[in-house]
Amino acid sequence: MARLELDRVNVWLGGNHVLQDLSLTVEEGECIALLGPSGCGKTTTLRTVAGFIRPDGGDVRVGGASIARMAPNKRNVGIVFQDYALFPHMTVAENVAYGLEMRGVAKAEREGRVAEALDLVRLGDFGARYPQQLSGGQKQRVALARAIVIRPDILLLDEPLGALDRKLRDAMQVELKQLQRSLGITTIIVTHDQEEALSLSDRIAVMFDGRLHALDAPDRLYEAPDSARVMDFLGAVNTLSGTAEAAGDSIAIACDCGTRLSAHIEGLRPGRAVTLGIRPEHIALLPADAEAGENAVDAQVEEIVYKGAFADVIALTETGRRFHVRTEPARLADSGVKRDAAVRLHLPSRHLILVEAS
Amino acid sequence: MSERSPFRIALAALAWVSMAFLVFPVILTAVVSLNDSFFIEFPPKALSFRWYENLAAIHRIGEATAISFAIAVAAAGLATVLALGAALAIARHPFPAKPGITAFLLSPVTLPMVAIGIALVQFFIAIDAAFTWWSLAIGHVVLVIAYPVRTLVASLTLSDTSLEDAARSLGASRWTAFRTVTLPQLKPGLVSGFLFAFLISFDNYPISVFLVRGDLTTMPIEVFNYISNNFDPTPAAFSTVYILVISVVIAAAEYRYRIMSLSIPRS
Repeated sequence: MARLELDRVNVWLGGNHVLQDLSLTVEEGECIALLGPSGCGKTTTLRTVAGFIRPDGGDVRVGGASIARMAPNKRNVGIVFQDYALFPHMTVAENVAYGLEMRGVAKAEREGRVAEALDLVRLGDFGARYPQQLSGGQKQRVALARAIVIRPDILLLDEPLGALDRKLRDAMQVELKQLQRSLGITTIIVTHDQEEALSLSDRIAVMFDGRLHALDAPDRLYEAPDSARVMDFLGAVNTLSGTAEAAGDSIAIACDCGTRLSAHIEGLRPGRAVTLGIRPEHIALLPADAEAGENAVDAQVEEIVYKGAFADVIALTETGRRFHVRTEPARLADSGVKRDAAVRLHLPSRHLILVEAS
Repeated sequence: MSERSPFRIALAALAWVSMAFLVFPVILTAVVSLNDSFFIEFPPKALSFRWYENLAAIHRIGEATAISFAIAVAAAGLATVLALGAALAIARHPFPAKPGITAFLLSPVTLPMVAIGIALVQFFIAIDAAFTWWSLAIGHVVLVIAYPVRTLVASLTLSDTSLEDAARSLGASRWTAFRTVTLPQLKPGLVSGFLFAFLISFDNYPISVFLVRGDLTTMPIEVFNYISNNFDPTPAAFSTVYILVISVVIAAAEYRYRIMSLSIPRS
């Protein structure tokens, strides 16, 4: 358990500059998710911390000591691989014991710690089985037990839930988070799945093209991202563009949706072009005859997509702008909103995200 | 496609004919070996084991079989070890002229054996090592190395490199990770590669014939010499024993290691 620092790490692979001046500090016991599209360098970052890739520049430190030139087997780093990488010719108990054996832990202590680790992941009775006799979720838990039994300084999880089906993923998400928190291991999760990143981590590091673009708590990153790219990558969003105009203490933005939107954004001077975002679930769907308050946009329902827990409504304004609105199906039924119906959309000013001013 | 379509019937017929074609000579050999008559005839008139009792009549058959066995073990063993190194390079590491070098390693399978035999004997005469036990063994290494290369490349391609990474992250040195995690994954490839190499070496005639002299002779050469001078079914009895032993060995290896999946190329 220790603080992990990546200090201006540069990695070149096959002529590509895969990691560019990547600096990132994971505090002791913290869980950071590396999130980004495939090829953004997140797996390279993980492999650099693990020691499979030597950085061409910069430093990697654990608890203040540099490990950048250290062989993988000398670093005390536990890894849960994407495909679990369980040794097929060893039993579950042998798999978990492997790291302890390499560390020369005596047999009696080894057995105790293996049993303890397997109990922790609720596989106490599975020690004698072989990996191919286990389900996906069980394999995942064995991989986790194998990684934590060595009491690593750093725990690395590579797409930990990617290979599991939906229901299992939800269950494992909770389990993984509780386990990480109770063990207090400094953890990096690599994922391209934003839901996984949002739910598992204390902070999310968003990477694009080998660079760190944003680093913040999940809710702050989701509610108030500071770049259009991050806003767009994290969840669905309606992106609007407009021009700022002076209007009392708040500012009005002449928007391409055909209305003036008022927003409380400090430091924005009149005359500047801005990009705004609003999440689909933050737009209120009102009947067409509702009182036209602040930030109301008239539109016509083009399509309703039922998704069980929620419904997505696509609405088109007269100016030809499409809005993506997320609402509860029950509310939709109550209000009698149907396809082709005229509606009024309410865009609450506190949910407007200003991401770019040029 | 329906169960009884003419195409399916034709295909099934072809498959049966092919299998019969493969099996028939084996059955014929066994039947002939049990025939009491001195001449090879079919169908046999009376059955006996007299040709099995006559196996010792083949000149030096015991010694020659022992030599063949030792040569085959040495050649297959050496070839498998060398092939493991070559296969690791081919499957895991980029290096210049990889396709050319791979093709070169596999080429003994496609080159005419007589050409390889002549080349080998000239080479061994040039280095003053011809007609020795080791020159015969080394010659057989050249002959058989393609088989373990092929099965081991297949094994390595199927094996998961993240297993070795996992072992390393758990504290294993490069060598320990290879020994405890990668090598066990390669067992089917090692076993089948060794076994095919052994079998190819054990009954090779065309290359051995150039490399043997005097008391250094192999089993196929002595059997062939016997056939050249005698017409009785003793070699058929020998072949039947040989086929039975080999079948048991292969069946055991297949049961234990599923070796066939590695030797039959998948598309």
